Amino acid sequence: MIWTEGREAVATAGRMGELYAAHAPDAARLAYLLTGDRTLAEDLVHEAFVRMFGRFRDLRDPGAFRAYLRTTLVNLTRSHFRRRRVERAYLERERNRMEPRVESAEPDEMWEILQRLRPRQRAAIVLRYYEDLSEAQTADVLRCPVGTVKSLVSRGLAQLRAEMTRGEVT
Amino acid sequence: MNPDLRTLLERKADEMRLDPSIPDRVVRKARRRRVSTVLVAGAVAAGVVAGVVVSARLLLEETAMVPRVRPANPTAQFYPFIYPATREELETTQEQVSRGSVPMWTEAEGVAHLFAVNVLGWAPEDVAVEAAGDAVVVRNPALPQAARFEGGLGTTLHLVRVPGSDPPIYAVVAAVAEVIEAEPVGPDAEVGADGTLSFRGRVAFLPEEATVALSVEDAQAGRAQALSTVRPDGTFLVQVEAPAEPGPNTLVSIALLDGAGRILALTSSRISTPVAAGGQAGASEATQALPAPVAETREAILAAAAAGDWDALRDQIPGDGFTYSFGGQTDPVAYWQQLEEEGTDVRGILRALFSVTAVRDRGMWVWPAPAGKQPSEWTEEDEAILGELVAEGVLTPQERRDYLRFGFYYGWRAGIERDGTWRFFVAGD
Repeated sequence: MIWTEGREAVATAGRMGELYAAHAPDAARLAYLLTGDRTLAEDLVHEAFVRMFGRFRDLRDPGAFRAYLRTTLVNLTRSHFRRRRVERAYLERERNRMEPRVESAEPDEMWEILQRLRPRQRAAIVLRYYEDLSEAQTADVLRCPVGTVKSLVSRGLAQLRAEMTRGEVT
Repeated sequence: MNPDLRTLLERKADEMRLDPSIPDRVVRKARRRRVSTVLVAGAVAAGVVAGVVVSARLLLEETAMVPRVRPANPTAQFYPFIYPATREELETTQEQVSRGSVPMWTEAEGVAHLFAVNVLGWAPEDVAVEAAGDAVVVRNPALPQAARFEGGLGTTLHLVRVPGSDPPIYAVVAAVAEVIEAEPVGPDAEVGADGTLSFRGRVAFLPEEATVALSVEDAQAGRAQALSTVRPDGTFLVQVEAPAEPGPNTLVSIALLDGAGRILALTSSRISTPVAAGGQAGASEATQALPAPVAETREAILAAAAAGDWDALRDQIPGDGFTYSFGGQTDPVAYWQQLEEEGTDVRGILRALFSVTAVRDRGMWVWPAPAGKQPSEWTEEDEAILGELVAEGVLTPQERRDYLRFGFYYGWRAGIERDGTWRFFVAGD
C-alpha cells in the first residue's frame, strides 16, 4: 500500500532524488567495475538506493552516505555472485582449458581477465585501485581483516600477471 | 602493471553512464519498503520458546507476500490464540457452536468479522473482510482517517482451525497491521529483563493526533498499557511496565489510534508464536522460519560444502568472533582440512547439520534444533532429527544416548546470528 499523503510523498521523492543525482552515477561506475555488466550494475545501484533510503534516517552522519552506499553496493554484489557461484565455477573450468595466448595482452583483454577473477579479489582490486581506499578502508567494506585484503589484492594481481602474455611483469 | 590497471579501471568506469534522474519505480519501491510490517511479539525471544520475527527483508523482496504464521497447538501450558482470548472462552465458544449457535465461528471470515467488532471495536456494518492467501484482511473504510490511506488501512489476521474442535471452529493466532513497523528496544536477551517492555518503530500512515498503544497481558497478572504520541516523522517509542515477567503466553499488542482513541490498525500475538514469510515454493520446513540473512548464509555454507569449495567456505567466516575448535588452532579452514585428512567428513557434517531444522536460542539460530534445548525438552521432531544425524554419520548411537545421560547435547553444532553472521561450527564440550 502506498500512502498518498501529498506533502510527505513530494518530500520523499525530493530527498531521494537529490541523493540519487549526487551519488548514483559514481555508484554505477563502481558497480560496473565490480560486475562487468552494465545492466546488472544499474539494477544493483537501484536496489542499493531502495535499501539505503529506508535506513537513511538512521544514519548517524548523513555526510557518510557515500561510504554507506559503497558498502551496501559491495554487499549486494557479493550476494549476487554468491548465487551465481555455480555458473562462475563453470566459467573458471572453461578458462583453465584455454590454450595460452602468444600475442600481446591488449588493455581490454586485461579487462576480460579482471572479470574472471574471484569476485572478492576483483572487489579488493577495484576498491584499492579505482576507489583509492586504504587497506583498512577496504577491509571495512569487505568485512574482513586487513591481511585478507592484502592477500586478495596480491593473488588477484598475480593472476592478472600470469594471464598476460606481453611479459610486462612489474 | 599497476598504472596500466588504474588507467584501465578509470577508462572502463567512464564507459558506464547512468541517468542522474531517479526512476519512478525506484521511488515507488522505496516507499513500499517503508510500509512493511514486523510482527512485534515474535521479536521478543528472551527466555521463550522459538520466538521468530518476520524478516522485513523477506517481506520487502516480495511485497505481495503475506506473512504466514505457524501456530503451535494448545497444550496444558501454552495457549497460542489471541481470539478467543482465553482457554475458557474457547471452550464456551465450542459448546455454543456444538449447540448450533454462533455459526460465524465455523468460518475464517466470520471469525475475522467478530474480531474486528469485539477486539478492534469497529461497527459491524463498517467491517470489510477480504481473503489473502492463508490469511484474512480486515479494514474499516468508514473510519474518518482511514479513508486517506490508499486502499484503506488493513490488519491481516492469521487464523487456524482449532485442533480437535468438533464441529470445527476457527481462532485468531496473530494480527499484523500493514502500517506498523516495530521492534523491541535492546538486545533480544535483555528484553523484558528489567520488568519493562519498550518498542520503537514507525507508522506509514499518520492520522491527526495519532497515538500508539502498547499493551502487555498476562493471564494471571493482568494487563498493562501505555500510550505514546507518534512523532511528525511517523516514528514512535513506547514503553510499558510488564504485569509479570514475559513468558510464552504473554500477549503483546501495538495499536495505532486516531485522535478519538479509535483503533485504526493492530499488531498482536502471543510472544512465542512463530511467524515466517511464507509462499516460498519449494522451501522446506528447515528454512521457512529463517530470517533472510540467516537463510542466505546457510545457503552459502551449504553450496560451498557441496562444491568442496574451501575458499567459498572461508568467505562465510567472519573476521573475528568465530568458534570452530577448542584446541587453540588459528585457521578454521586449515583445521577442518586437517580433520578431513584424519577421516572426519567435515563438509558432509556441514551439509547434514544445515539440512535439518534449527532452533532459535537467545538471538542465535542453532543447528541442529536439539542442540538448543535440554534433552528433557526434546520433542518427537527433535528425536527424528537426531536419528537423521545418526544415519548421516554426524553422531553415533552411543553419543546420542550419552547426551541424554549427561543432560546436554555436545555433538557437532553450528550457529548463525540473526544478521547472518556465522558464529560457530564446533563439536565437544
